[in-house]
Amino acid sequence: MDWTREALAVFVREWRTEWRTRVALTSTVLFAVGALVLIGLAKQVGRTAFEPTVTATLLWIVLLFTAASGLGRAFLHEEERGTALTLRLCARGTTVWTGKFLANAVLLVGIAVITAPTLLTLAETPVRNVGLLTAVSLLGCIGIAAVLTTMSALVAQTSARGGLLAVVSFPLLTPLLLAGVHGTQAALGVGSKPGGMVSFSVGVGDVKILLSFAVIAITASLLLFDFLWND
Amino acid sequence: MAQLAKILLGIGTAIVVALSFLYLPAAEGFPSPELARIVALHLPNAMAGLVAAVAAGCYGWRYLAGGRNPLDDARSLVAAVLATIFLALTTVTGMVFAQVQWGQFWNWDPKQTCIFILLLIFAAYFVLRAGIEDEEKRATVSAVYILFAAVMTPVLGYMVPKYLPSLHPTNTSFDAAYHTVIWSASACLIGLYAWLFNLGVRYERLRLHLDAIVRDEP
Repeated sequence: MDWTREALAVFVREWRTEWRTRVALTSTVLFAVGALVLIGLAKQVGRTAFEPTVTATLLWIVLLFTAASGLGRAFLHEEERGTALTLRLCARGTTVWTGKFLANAVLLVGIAVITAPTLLTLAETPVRNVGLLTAVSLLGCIGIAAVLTTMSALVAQTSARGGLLAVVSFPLLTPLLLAGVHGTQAALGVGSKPGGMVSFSVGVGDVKILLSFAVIAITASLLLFDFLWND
Repeated sequence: MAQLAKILLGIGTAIVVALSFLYLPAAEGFPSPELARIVALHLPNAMAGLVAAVAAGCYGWRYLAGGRNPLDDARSLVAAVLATIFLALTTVTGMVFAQVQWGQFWNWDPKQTCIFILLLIFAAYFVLRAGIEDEEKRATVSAVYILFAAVMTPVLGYMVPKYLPSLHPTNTSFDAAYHTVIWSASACLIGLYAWLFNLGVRYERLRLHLDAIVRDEP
């Protein structure tokens, strides 16, 4: 019980400090909006609706890059403000990781809630199974948040910082990208007969893969984070 | 003893190269059977690369769990460098092979993709190392990264083939001659890996000594 409260306290602290400036929040949302505007404009040039395969790919590219631009702050912040040592005294490594991961996951899910419907409307791609799309995006966001939280802790130790987060995490996120794109395509009706709804079962394999990816990423992070934190 | 091992390794490698050109029959079941002999170089490189990649992960673990010995970090680094070289050679020979057999240098085949992603991970590992000044911090961060990658990459090997169609043969069985040459070539390359690894670690050990001497000088 104590562990849960500690993790929740870190989570609440993350959002409270974030809410004072709202820098990460606004910059991340604006990054996503900027990407969506560019996609919308680019589509106007061609004057045709996107194929569902293109829409699914764009959705994941926007999510990945938005996450890489905004989620890196989790640990960078502590190093910059010099609060890492105090946090180290107050909380255990696993609770710090969990709190920050939850804060990142909530932020990323919020981004996805804005991005996915906007992108689908812009691209004029009809959704053929909303439940599947929701499940795939939710699990994908959790997986991305888990990997990026750990990687941002590593990158915060370097002198380069900014650009490194994408470099070190994208190769690790490739399985998630493949399953996410495939599951989203299934929810948009790729590979099914045209017209009407598709059943959840067309993408259940992808949902399972995304779920196991998230579980593995969270477990590996929890096991390894202590080595970094208690250094 | 070490001298003998090196001489034997040299003779063995020479024999394997000779065998792969002179003794191997053309592989049936490939679009271009004569040119399939490149597998005798391609597969052993992949095996040596994977051995080196696993070694890099194991030494990373030993660094974190076994008392943070800077030499273990150096061993992990040397293994990672060698893994990158062997995996790059695997990719190049694989691309030549793919061009000859399937008419395309690059076709996002799952094995091709997996090896390439491994290469990207090692590239990221070197960039990460280059970004950290402090030696202890660098060792810890890179060990955590390589262990995280070691946990996530088996997932890759399992997942990627589900999404990408493969051109790699699954049903063609090589005849016994191929097995002999491929396995002996693998043994030679893994021996070569061990030799290079030993040289690299000795170099790193000297560098650590030198750094310590320079640091102690007023």
